[in-house]
Amino acid sequence: MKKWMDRIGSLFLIGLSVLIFSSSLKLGIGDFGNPGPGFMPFFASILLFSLSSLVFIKGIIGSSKDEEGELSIGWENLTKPINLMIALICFSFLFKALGYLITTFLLMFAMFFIYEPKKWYVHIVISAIVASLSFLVFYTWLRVQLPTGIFRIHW
Amino acid sequence: MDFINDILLGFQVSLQPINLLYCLIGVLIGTLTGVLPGIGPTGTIAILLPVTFHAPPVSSIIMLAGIYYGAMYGGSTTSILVNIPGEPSSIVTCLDGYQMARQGRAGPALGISAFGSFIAGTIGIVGLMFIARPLARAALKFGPPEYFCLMVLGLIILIYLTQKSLIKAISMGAFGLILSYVGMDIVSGQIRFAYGIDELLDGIGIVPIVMGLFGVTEVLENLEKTTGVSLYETHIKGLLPSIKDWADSTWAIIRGTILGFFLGILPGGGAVLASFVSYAVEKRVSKHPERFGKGAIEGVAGPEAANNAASSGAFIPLMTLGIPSNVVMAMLFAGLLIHNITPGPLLLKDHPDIFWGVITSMYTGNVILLLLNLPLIGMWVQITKVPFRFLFSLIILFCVIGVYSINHSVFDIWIMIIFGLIGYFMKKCDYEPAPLALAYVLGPMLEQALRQSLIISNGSFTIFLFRPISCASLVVGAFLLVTAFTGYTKKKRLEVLKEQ
Repeated sequence: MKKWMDRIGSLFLIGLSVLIFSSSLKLGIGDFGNPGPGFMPFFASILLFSLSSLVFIKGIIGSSKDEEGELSIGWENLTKPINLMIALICFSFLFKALGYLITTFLLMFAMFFIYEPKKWYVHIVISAIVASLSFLVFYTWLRVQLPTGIFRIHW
Repeated sequence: MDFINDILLGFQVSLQPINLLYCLIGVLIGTLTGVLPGIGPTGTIAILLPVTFHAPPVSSIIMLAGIYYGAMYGGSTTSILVNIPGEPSSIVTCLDGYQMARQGRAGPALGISAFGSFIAGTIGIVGLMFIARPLARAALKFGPPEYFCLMVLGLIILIYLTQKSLIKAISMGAFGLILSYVGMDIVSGQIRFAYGIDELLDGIGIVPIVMGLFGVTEVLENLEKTTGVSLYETHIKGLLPSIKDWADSTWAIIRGTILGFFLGILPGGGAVLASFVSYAVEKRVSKHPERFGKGAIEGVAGPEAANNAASSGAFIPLMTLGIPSNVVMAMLFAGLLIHNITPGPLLLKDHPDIFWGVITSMYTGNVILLLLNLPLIGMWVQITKVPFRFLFSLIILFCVIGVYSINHSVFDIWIMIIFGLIGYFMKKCDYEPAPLALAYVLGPMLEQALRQSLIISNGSFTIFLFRPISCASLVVGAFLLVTAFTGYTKKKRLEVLKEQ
């Protein structure tokens, strides 16, 4: 499993380094006497490519002992992290349209629910309190410009 | 006389009621951060950075600095009572601190940790006062080659200290450099790697990256775990260490302070390294090394003193050279830039109030921490019992507000989510986020220094070898890399860990 993760991780970095390498060439790397805008990214991408390739190769030809290697963090209970990510992505898309108060209430409820689905009625109350209090602190007192949304809810 | 005037100016600034208030808030939040596992001072400073927009610059930096050294105090509480370090720099405190708690000596362990931290923090600040001015004066003579090599050395030390794969740590450094080059090139004005996305024209912000890597990633990791934290049931009494405890700890505190301070100055070094080295030294010099790991008070006093002294020392490269030596300092660097203050040798000349105000505030902060923390230990212990569902939800909420409030841009929230995911998967593959974050902050300065050096030397790399400071930095960096790759240090490190 660990080897598979190494392969996927290094492939991502290899892809990124290739993209940066070609973009740096387009930007112009200049020469040593007059380095261009692509100079540093060019060398950084070569470094990243070389090291990631090494990790990738090690991931392919590594010993069978590595194959059995445990991940430093287990894959169990992935449901909660995935649900949190979905909640955050939905929140980011609705944030400006619905405004801080509504979306934060929904996000807080979703997060409480993800961790402990049983006490949903308690979560509704706490989410409403957290959303209102944080709005009061950040929007009213600290004057952070939070979106009020299409319903223009604020105080 | 200059020195006395500087200190007086510093106290004049730091003792103003508003600055005292910010200092108090900073150290309280810092202690809270240290006590609670899940979010460190880096994430907390990133979250609070936007809140400081409306505050005076000196007050903001006083508060942000307070979070850093406050976290060093707080981290020891959970290490001793719960055997879970709130901070990486408190990992070694678990070894003997928790054993002391199990033997019913939680009070003296917490007491010596607080007193040791106070003594070390205070001596560290005095050292900072003495070294800052001469170093800033010397730094005025530094040119681009010196800066370039010092920054490279800082990155190498950070990578050298990585606990996992060295190759992966260097990869993360390269990744961080690449990310820092997104946006406008400072020399030619050309837009780099924006790929038609308007929001990338100004580059990627440090705050969304740090909050993603250190805030969201931590929450995602903790969400996986189902086991709860159990507090060791012990009655905390007698926080004042006995005369014997003091006799056992005094030299450990002194050694820890000196070691920590100088390791803190080292670019790339910091509190984690300082605490580990201090523990190893105490064990080596002890007449009874077999007591270590079984509740030796020196094993608590030394590392706790070392990590606090290191947090003072870490301010030296930031304030005098403008080079952040670790990720927390990188966040403070960003905090200063937000207020249009450029850290570096000119800070002392242009903003002496900020320079000396922040330094002396660390002294008042240490006093506040000592006065507040010992009586409040019971409260901090109760805080570790906060249900995780509240903790992680609030961390995410503060991350979102913090990120959004900088540019009022949802795009920054997406960046935070993306880096949260990247950090999560990278951790699964044993890639560490710290080299990425530090390389990201140093990237633009590193590039500018390299390009200027090459222009000065007409493209000759010998410019780095003919200057003593740059040459020495490169030699030390090369030596560290060679020893790291030959596996010698890894073997040594494993031996030390095994011993511990």
